[in-house]
Amino acid sequence: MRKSELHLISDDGDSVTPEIAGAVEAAYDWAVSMFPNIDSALLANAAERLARNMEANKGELESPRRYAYAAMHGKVHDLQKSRAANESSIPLHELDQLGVAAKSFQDDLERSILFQQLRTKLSDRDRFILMLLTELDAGPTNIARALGISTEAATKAIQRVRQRLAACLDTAERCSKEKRAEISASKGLTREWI
Amino acid sequence: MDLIRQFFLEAFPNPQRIDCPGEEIIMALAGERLPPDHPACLHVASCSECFAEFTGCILELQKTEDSNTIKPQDPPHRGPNWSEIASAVSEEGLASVALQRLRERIALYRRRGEKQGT
Repeated sequence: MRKSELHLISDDGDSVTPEIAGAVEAAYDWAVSMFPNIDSALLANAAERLARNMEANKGELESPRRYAYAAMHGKVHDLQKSRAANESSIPLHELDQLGVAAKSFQDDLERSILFQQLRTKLSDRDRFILMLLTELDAGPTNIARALGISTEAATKAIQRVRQRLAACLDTAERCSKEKRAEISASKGLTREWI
Repeated sequence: MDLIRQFFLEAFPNPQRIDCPGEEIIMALAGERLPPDHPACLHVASCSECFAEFTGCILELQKTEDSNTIKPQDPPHRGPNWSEIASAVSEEGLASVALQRLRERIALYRRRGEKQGT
């Protein structure tokens, strides 16, 4: 669903203020772009409800844009937790055969462990470099300027970040395999997909 | 979604928005109007809420740029270019046949005109 199809009205049926409409549309577009696996119709529904609530409480809003992003982010988090909104073109029984549906909880667990490891292993500086690399397409020259170091040192720093990242991913993969083996052994089952 | 993005979006919750920069600063950062060594950049890498706003700003700026870009207009309509048509069908070995038929039709048309004129 495109943003022009959002029907942003207040409880009285009037159009919401342009500021709120802009903020909600931007937050909705962001959610659709960042979470393509979530049903956009559910996101649109959440966005319309959000606009109604924001319009009803507009006197208390310090920053509509900031509020809209935080609210949509929270909604996405809820939808991901409940898994009610996941779009899939594969029938459920096929997903079960592949083990995708069955390991979803396990995936969440593994991901949270991986994120904890990344938090521990990557320093503030490493995360800063990672963000510059991924979001702003920065190269060694930009990173060198940002950190106040030489380009050679920046290149080495980038290399080290990549190595730490790779080490965390390797550890996570190893842990994941061990966990899966434990689960299958504890259930007395051998899953085809392990 | 990209794992790194997911990491930044989930791993640093800051619902109280402690030490968060203003919206204008995040927008300026996304628009690369601030130097990369600006303290806000470091904060965005340590605050999931600000990172969400930051990625949203990048998206908004991209959309604005796309809408400001003037699309090239279609060239003005011109009559059929027979040599182009002939070369297009040449692969099938029909170019000479097509041109021959065209010439015959033009000749026939002229002859009819001459007859009507006399």
